Amino acid sequence: MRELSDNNPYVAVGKRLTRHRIDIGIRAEKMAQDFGITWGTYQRIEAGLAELLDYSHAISTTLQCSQTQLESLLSTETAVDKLKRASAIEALLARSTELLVASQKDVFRMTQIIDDIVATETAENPEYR
Amino acid sequence: MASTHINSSALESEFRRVEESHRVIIDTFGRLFTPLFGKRAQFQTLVREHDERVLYTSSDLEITNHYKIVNSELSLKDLGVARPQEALAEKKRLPSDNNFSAVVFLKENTATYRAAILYRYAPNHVWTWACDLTEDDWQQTAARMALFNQHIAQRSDSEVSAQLNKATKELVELRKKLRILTDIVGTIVAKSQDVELLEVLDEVEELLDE
Repeated sequence: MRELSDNNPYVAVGKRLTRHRIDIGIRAEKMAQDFGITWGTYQRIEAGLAELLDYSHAISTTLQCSQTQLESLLSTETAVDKLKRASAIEALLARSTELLVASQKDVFRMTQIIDDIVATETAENPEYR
Repeated sequence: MASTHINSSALESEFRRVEESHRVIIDTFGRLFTPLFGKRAQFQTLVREHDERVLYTSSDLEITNHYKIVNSELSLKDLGVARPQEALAEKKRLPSDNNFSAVVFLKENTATYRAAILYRYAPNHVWTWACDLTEDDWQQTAARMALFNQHIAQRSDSEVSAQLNKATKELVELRKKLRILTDIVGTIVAKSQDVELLEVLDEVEELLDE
């Protein structure tokens, strides 16, 4: 994220979204809900670390500009910046996938532990549900 | 340029799928903890560990805190419901060597007990699920939380990995057997030409293909 300059149109649009959200006093999760995406995805949009063209309708509606204007602005991203952004997203995705695998393992572990606790409690107290 | 867009869109689409899976996992944890609390967790919060910044909370916030979270300035202390820093061992809510911890504590300046389960989901990021307890249920909940911590301490990561691998292998074997069984039943059903049975068979095959 830090590698992308403020001149990058994706970063600029993300910052405009943040500014707009703060100005109207809305929490990020509410924006995510309005965009129909997860909180994590919305955070990436504000950081300019997403493919904003995929959300151009929602972004242009929020920022009250035309979709064409927005897409035209985003198209000014240089090839070098585009590569940098894609590689930053890839690195984030790899990390996020790793975390997902680890958390799936934790779900398995928790399921076993909680099942054991419930079984113990049920055995000691049949009224427990 | 068009091809670059297609590539980044594919990347974006994959990332959205992963982020949706994260959301499902977090919801799953919330549901899993229900028997420990004896009810569905009332509050869910995501905190950055090093500065206790609240990144997300399901709590309704009063106006000052609302604007703080909008500006990314809300701290756990502002919420006024967590254990004070001074009360923590080594000033840490979660030990560095464990990603889970369950606690029951008396909320400051109140006579209300709160139960919380903390989970270090990513480095420096802790999800918390919490519930206020009543006079009638706090002791039982505290006992469950203690038991939970014992189990967490006893089950090593490698033991869990081994069990998970075993369960995965068993699932693969079960799938293979079901596939054989479906093929046999499929031959019989195909001969019978029973529309309803054929539809059921299609559904089962789709499930097995997932």
